[in-house]
Amino acid sequence: MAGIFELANPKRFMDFSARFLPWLGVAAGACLLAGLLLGFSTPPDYQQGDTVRIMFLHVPAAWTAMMAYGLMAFASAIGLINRHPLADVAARTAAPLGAVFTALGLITGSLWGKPMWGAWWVWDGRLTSFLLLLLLYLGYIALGSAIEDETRSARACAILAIVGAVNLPIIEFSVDWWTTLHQGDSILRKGGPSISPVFLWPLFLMGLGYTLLFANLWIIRIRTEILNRRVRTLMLSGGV
Amino acid sequence: MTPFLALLSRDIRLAVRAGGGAALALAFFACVVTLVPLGVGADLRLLTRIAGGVLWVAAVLAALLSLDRLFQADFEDGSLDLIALSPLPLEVTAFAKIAAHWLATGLPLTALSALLAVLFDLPPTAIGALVLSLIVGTPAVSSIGAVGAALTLSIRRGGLILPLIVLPLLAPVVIFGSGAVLGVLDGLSSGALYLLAAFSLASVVLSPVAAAASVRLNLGG
Amino acid sequence: MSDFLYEGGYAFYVWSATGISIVALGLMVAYTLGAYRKAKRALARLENKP
Repeated sequence: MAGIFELANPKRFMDFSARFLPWLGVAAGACLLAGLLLGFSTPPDYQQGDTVRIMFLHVPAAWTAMMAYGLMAFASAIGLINRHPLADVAARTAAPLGAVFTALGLITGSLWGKPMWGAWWVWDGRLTSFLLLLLLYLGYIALGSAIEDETRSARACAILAIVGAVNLPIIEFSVDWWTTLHQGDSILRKGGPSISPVFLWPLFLMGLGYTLLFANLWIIRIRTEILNRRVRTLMLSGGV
Repeated sequence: MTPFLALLSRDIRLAVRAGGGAALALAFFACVVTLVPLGVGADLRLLTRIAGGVLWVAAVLAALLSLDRLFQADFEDGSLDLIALSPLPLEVTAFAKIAAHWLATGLPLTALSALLAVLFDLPPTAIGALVLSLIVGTPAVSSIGAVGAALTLSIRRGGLILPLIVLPLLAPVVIFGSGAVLGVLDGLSSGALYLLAAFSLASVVLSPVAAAASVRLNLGG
Repeated sequence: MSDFLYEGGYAFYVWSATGISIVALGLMVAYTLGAYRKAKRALARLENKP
């Protein structure tokens, strides 16, 4: 925990992140490359055939999208409680990234579902929860852009993120309950009834790769915002 | 009269007068409910199946109509600052406003739903389940809606953002509410009402805290 | 090789999913880096002014 507060100073954050950012990028790229290569060289799943490849794209995106929201909520909480100077920035910058991963998860989920279930969209519990997650992200982004005052905007978004995070498990539970009510079958459970071990390695690598990529992009966005704030300060004090 | 009751009755009076939004919500509710059969066709069996969902969604949308002014009206004429300065804790103020919205909008919508349910040929037991689910669930709509209203109170055109923020959070309410009706139609006991009650209770208790925090940040506290 | 492209008949789905993923991730990277470089340049310009 103390480590986070050492990074509270924007300059410290810039220096610290500059050092390991290149390695993070290399690690992300390596994982993604290895994951893709492995993913495409496994034999086809006996049940899903070659569409199992899509699992290596869908599941990591979905996982990253959910993790991003959790991080957003966590950063928001720290921002509200501890007034950590960079917490607000961290939360706001994570949102568009998370939204893109969510949309990607939905699209790949749809492409996975069509050959499996014959429809571009099914009101499966997981996909439906995911759609709601996307709406939560969009609401957060909309609220952030609509409030002009920066401090108010950050705090309002923080409250919304926390309310959303508390609500999210309930939403998922209710959607799950809802699918059983309408005699649906949740087929899209993490890749089918059971994942044979040969698929676990590519899945793990892709998951790690997506996570590292997110971390990379997130840190760069925070750095960008720090720089932009310096720019704004300089311009306000007559630097132009 | 205690400050809480004074605030409660003031808000109710403001809501039910002309232009206050309560009557508008009822009219909107009736319009939407009328429009759906026009859109899906007059097959009564189909309409009976979807009745719970349609009435619930329409009720939520109608309740949202008057929510954006919940705090904004007082914010704009400065009375929110005065209310915030009063000895009444802001959380209690928020609760009073939520209660006022429910009494002025949520309950009347529930009553009207019983009448409109007849249009969908719902059997009496299902209508009973519908009304019960609305009584139990509309407090959650007012509560969570109030949080959204407090967050957006300083936005000029916040009326459009409010539904975007609030509707995903209300998914459980719609699911359990209409699920209760379906349960009766299908002859299953699905515990939907209990789940709904639990969610509503939690919302009513927690929302005033979030709403108060949102009001404070908007008042520049 | 043709097995690889054909993907058991699911070629359209597999390659669309792969394509969209690569494009989406690529755009995110490009946009993020672009915004960063823009900020850097703006700061450099301001700090170089006397």
